Amino acid sequence: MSEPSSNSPFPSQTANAELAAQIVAALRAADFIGISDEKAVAALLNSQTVKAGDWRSLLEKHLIPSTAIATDHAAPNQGA
Amino acid sequence: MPHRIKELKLTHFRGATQPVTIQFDPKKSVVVIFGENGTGKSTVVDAIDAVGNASFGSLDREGVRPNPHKYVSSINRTARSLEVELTTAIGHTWKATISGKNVVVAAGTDGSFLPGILVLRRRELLKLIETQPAKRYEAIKSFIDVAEVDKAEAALRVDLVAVDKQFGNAKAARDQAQKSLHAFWEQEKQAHETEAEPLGWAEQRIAEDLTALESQASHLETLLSGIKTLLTATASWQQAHETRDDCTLKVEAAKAKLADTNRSEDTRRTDLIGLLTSAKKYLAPPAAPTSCPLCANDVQAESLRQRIEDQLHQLQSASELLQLVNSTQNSYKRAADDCDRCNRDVFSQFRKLATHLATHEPSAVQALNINWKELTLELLTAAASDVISEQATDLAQQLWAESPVVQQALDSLRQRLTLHDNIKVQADLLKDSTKKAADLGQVVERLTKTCQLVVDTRREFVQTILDGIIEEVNRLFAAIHPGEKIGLHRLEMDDVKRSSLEQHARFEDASEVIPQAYFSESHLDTFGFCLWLALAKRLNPKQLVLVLDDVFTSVDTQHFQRISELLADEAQYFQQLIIATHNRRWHDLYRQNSAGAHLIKLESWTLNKGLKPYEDQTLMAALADALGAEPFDRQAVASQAGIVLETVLDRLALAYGCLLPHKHGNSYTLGELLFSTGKLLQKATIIRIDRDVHGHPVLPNNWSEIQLNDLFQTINGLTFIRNEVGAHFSPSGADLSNSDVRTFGEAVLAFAQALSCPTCGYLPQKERDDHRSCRCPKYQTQLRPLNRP
Repeated sequence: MSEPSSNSPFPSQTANAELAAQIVAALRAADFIGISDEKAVAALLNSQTVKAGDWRSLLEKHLIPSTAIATDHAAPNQGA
Repeated sequence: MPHRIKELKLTHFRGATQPVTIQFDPKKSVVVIFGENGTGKSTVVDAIDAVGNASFGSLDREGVRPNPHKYVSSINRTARSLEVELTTAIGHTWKATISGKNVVVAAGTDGSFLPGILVLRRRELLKLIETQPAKRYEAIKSFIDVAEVDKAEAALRVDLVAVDKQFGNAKAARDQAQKSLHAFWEQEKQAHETEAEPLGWAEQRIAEDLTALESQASHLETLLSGIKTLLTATASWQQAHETRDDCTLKVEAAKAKLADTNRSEDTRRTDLIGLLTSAKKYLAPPAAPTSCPLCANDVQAESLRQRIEDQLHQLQSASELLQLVNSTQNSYKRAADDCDRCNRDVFSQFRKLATHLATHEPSAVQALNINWKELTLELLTAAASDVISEQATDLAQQLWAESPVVQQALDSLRQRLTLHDNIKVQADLLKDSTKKAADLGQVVERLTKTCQLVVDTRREFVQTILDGIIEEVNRLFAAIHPGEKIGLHRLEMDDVKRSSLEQHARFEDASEVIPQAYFSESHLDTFGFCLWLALAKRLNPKQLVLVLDDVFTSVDTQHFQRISELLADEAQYFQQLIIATHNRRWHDLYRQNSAGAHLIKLESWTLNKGLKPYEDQTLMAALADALGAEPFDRQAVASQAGIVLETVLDRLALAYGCLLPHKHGNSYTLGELLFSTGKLLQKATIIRIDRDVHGHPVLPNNWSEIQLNDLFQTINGLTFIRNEVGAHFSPSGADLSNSDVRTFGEAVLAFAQALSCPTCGYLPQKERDDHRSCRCPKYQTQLRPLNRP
């Protein structure tokens, strides 16, 4: 089978974006990332140039309670 | 369908040694390119692939890689002269050329749209039914491509491994610090220390105030240093003292010798030498006086100086002794000065040491029984002298004798302080590494869970797609193999090997069989094809052109018929379907039925002429052509009409299950077919919607009925013409007029046209509630009755 051409209507981009959105939603539901991280994680999952350390810095950030509260605008009692 | 391929121009592309243009009928959803092996079918398919996917097509494989660009141009042509131009139905053009090692595709005009082109070749079909799950996954990967997520997942794993390694290192450092601290605890813990664990004990130890110990050690260090400095100073003083005494002796000896000389010769001699030496200096240039400073008489300075020189030479011995006295006196003076300096130095060090000991006298020194405070007071009013230096030398020796004991005390203090430092270092290390390990442990846990979540979500996502495909695969497979207890049961990603596709099929009553083990070659072929088609339908089929390049090798006529019917049904979902085949049976099926397919035939390829594409015709079109030809070819019309009639009746008899004598190869005669379908055709009615010249339904919709009985009767009365004019040598055939032959031909054509749908080209065979219908998605041509009377 031929690889899809760039201008062709193959939905590989769509499939990737769809899966990326599902992963972001799952990470958010598990409280592994904050609302403000969603875009960054989605970009990472749709990027051709993801680097080592990208995931760590994103997830580590959310492990620090003060950051999580600040970025999520969560109520104080929702903080870690 | 505006984006169907309408035209393909090949210039020096593979087998196209001469420029060639292939026209596709954009009104037809299916294009069938028939050619025997070596006629250039793959060249045509590769050309479409080159424009559609910037691909080297069939050249992109082992043995040709990595240099397919070297072989894509026609023999004896360079890649520079190669060009493929594709034009769609609405006139958008796209060109493929070779640039370097790549196929480059460019739009003819801005805003041109190129449909997606999906090519299935035999070797790709085989990958779909490959025994190795990893290769099967590779074959379907492009349909469920989540490459960016895959990359992100890989990066996530890299992060996990890296952090896990750091976590391991932090734990090792923590364990090491714990071990070291425990060792200290076991070795150094005192009976009065109550802490039950090393870190608590260490923190107690760290909290201890060690200022006094540090001060004590500092004093001892100062003392030892002071003793050493004083010793050095007294040693220097002794040396200077000895040198001064030695100089005294030398001066005295020199003076005594000079005195002896003066006494034995001339007592005035020494004075004279002194006087002459002074006069010599006085007369020396540039002064050169002209008169005596004493008597004021004129003098000749030069001659006088010469005379003084001569006299001094005679008095040399006495002069040398005088110089020796002077020299020894100078040495003495220097030694005496040095001695004074040493006295001062000793005094300074002595006073400093005494002052230090007056306030910080260690027990080791107390044994000397010296009152350091009193001594300090004495030294305050004293001055540097040989006496003090002698006293200092004596005390320095006594203190030096005690210094090993002082050193021992200092070592003991240092050991305690070092232990304290080590305990602090290990305790700090333990606390730091414990915190670091805890932090990293959290990150590892979060990365692990994230990784698992990403994997689970991806698997579920892909599995959902695969589950959706199963139903469609089975529907397609059942259309080709109706009534067979065989199909796809489950497709799933391997849990362990992520790029691996497991296939589980149904075979009779077993639901978990490996298709490769149970399916026939033909079933595997069609199974792979159905899987591919179902995957293609998952894409955006309305914008896709499917191209099948000789994919079936082991399919019989009956299954080709079903595949053709299936493709006729499925073609409606896609922009266009292009089939390249070398199989004449499949090609003939299209010639027999298909008004919906555009037929292209490739004749034998030659180096000089290259590809030779020709328009091919359906049987009905060939009959229509024969009827319209001038001069009228009666034999051709009778023969072609016979073939068309046999084809239509055979298909009708098969669809309705009409009774026919059992024969080898089912080669029924025209008479037998007419007889078996006679009752049906006497009652058969075709109902179809009225269409304009372009084939579009006329508004308002009007349905017309065609009774087939009249046509049947006409044909039934003229069938002998096929034998007597079109098939055999028969003198009686000569008695038949051209008009009779034309009537027969026209009746057969009208009969076939009435029965065949003008849109899809198929006979109405699909069973509905009260009729049979063609394969059109809507406005189907209907044939009644539903069943054979």
